[in-house]
Amino acid sequence: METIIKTFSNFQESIDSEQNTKETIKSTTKEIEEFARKMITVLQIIHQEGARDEIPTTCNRCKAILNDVKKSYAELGQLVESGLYYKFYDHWKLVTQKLCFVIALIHYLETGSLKTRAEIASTLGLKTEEKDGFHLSIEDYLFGLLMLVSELARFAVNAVTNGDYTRPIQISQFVAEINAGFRLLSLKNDGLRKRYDALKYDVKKIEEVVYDLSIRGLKSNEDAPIQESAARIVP
Amino acid sequence: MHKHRRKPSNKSDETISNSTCSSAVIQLFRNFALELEEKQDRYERLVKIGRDITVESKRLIFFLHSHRRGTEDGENVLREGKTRLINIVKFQFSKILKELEDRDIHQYLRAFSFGVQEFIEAFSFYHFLVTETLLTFEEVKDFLECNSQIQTQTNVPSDGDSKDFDKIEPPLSSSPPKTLNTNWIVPHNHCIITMLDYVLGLNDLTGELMRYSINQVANGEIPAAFDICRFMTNLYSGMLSVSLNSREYSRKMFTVIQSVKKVEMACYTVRVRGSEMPKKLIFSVLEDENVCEDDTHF
Repeated sequence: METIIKTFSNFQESIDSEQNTKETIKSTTKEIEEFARKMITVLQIIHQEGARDEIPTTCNRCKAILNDVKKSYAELGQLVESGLYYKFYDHWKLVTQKLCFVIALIHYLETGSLKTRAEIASTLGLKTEEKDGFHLSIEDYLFGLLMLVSELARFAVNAVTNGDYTRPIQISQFVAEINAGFRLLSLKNDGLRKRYDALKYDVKKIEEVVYDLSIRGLKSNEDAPIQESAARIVP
Repeated sequence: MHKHRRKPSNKSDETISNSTCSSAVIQLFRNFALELEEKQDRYERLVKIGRDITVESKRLIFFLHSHRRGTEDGENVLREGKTRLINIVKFQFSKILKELEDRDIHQYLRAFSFGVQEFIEAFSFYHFLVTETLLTFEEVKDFLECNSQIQTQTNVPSDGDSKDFDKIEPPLSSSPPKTLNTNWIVPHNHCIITMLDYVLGLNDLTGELMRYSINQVANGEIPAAFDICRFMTNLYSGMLSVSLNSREYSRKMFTVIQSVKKVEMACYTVRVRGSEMPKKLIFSVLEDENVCEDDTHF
């Protein structure tokens, strides 16, 4: 009887201490979520008229917030003992995906290129390798990219509305590359796979915008060589 | 519309062929593909090992049910049971460990935790048959460590092993050298058997004890049945004391109370009618008896 009581009281103890850790993790992730929401709201400016001139300042505002995010992630890293990353993974999974999206979007707006996983990890102060501890998981990064494409699809539409006809072309090229990349992955039947299935609709939307621009002759001339080269390669 | 559809697809084909060798993005994704595939394969392999553990544990439990207290046969059953337990650890758990080297076990836990629970069920059942006490979590860990010790020190063929088995006989008393921990404890001190899986395995144990105790009654081992009943009642109150927000746990607890009630009813029947009935008849009464499955208190 004594062993039985002891066994279950030990178990209860371990549950309780785990619960405490969870609570602390929750409050930290809540902070991070707050930051993420703030940045996403600020970035909505890209869909508005005259956004072009606002973009650099917006990006800088977000970068300032990202510094705080990095601090919060450092706290989180302290809370989570090494080897327990995936035990509590669900707590920060979603917000990390969102941040990957935000960071990739900022990077795209500034440079027009794709931010790599390693670069995003370093922006957040995370490791890239699982064995090194608190890291940026590959799935979270890919989720972030899929979110980025959805946002860019909207951006392409709104850019046209706001009279920017070159942006959709850029986006289309950028997204085509990501799309080609995703096709190399053999995804399991899981959440990432489901989210990936939505990618084709975003790609289609962007292509429709480009199509509309080209049949109406709204595409600027500088893009013409690209079309020619495409025609050359496709048999 | 047709033209419209064709054009985009041509375009993305072009992108693929154009960038197969060059694009940095594609290179990035190539590496992702490898990494994801590696993860998926590892997961699948672990599922398979978990399934093997489940199958062998189930067979072992079935085998252990043939145990009769205090008979020569019973001793043999226990001896073989132990060998089989050790073999599961040696051949199956060691594989899990190899797969999880340097990795976060919690990412793959779901792949094999059902196997672990089944193993705990078999192990705790065996342990109860030998000692009539509850297998503790520490004993489980020690057992894993001890048997990795055998594995790493000597690769003795199964006959020669029996000596080593005796040496580690009571897992309670032997405390293996701590330096070996790394063998059995996956990175950062997290045992591949989590406490939760251990407790969930104990939940399943009650079902086996129920079956075993009814068989005891059938064999005329009335005192044994009463012992088991007491043990189960204690175990159940222990389980009740845990407050845990887990669907799996509450689902299992539902089964636990059914088993406990069945055994309690059996003991009651034996007490009330035992004096007036031949033993074989009691058994048939027990078999017919369907425990009232009304309210469950937890």
